[in-house]
Amino acid sequence: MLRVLPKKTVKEQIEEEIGYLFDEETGYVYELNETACKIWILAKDGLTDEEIIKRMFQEYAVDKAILERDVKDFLEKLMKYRLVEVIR
Amino acid sequence: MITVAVTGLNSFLGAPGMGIVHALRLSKDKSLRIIGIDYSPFSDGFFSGQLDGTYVIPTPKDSKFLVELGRIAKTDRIDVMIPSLDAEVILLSRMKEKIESDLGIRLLIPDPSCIMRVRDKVAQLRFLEENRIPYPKSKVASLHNLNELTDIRFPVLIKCEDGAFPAFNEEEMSVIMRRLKRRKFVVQEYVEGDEYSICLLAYPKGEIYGYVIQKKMAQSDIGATLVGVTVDRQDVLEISRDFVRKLGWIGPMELEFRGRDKLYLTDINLRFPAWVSLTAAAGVNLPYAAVQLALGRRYEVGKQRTGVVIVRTVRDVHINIFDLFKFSKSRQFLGQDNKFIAQ
Repeated sequence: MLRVLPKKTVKEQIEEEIGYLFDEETGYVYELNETACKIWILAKDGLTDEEIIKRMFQEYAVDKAILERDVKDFLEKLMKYRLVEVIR
Repeated sequence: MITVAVTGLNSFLGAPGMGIVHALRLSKDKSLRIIGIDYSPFSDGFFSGQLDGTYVIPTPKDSKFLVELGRIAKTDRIDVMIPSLDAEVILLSRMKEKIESDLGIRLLIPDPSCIMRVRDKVAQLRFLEENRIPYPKSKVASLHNLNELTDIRFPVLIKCEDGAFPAFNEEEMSVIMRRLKRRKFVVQEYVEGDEYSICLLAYPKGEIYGYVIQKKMAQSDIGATLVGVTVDRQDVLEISRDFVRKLGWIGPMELEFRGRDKLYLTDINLRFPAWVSLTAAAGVNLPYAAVQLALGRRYEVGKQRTGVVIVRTVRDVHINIFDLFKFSKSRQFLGQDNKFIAQ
């Protein structure tokens, strides 16, 4: 089970199908696709990786294995780029 | 009405004068009169339409400098002067007392001994070393002891009063040193990584009064910011606070940093940087604060906003050859609302 929350130093601009994150410490800007935006919003609400997968699986007709991989990959990227803090 | 004189109007040489003017205009303070002073009639700032008065004068090295400045002060009653070039700061600092008492012009700059601790690259290296400020691996070198630089890895930057010059091997290094004809150089290993710089205003002595930090997103071949974004780097701020306190600096300054996980101080500029208008756009108008502090007034600067971008641009103007000729001959142009006429 993994729960992450955005770092205070990350600003966001989420539009309909695309989103942007700005790390005000490093100055880097990241672009999010539609799926990443949805994962980001749910993570921000405090949902764990499993809860995000469950919620998205209920809402969208997608292959569960692909969804699980997408969520895991995206959360790992957020951690790698230090855009989130892991909540224990 | 407060008259502010700004120098360093040649933006193409990286001088920050027009950035300072831009920031002062962004203050929307209608009581400011801004006059531009430069050493060349061809400096682009003269033709910007942003100045209330323009003067070409000799450099501070010239014995006529003070006389000319006095003449302008008489015509235009300058209240505050913001020097914009590193070379000017030391010369004006030596004349500060005379300028302030005889001409009534206030300057927010440190005393000469403080400047000399960091003006010369060799002295600067010693200061950083003694005060444990993180900087890239560096050695003092001359043409005669190049064989002693065995533990320095290329590429390097060869630093002296003329600037910083990259060298990728020993042969290039000796060619550069021979060309520059200086007695001593600082040879500094080039650190890879992101570049950040802080524009700060120290006041009172040794304390940071206000600051803005930017990440360079695009730069010119001499390292000047072309595009930058304001960021919040606590490591940059901490090193800068430590540096300013140990140096006892007062007035404007820019510190540049580079690195990946750890940042190193790579350059020190004893003036506002050319990107200084970004400070006003980010909510911390440092040139305006400098004017107020020089006048002995308090001015509250807020905290910088992050994510604000500066894009440096070039604007062409077209003028009448006779206007340009008259300007360069008269060394003063105040006519026709200070606007050159396009033909």
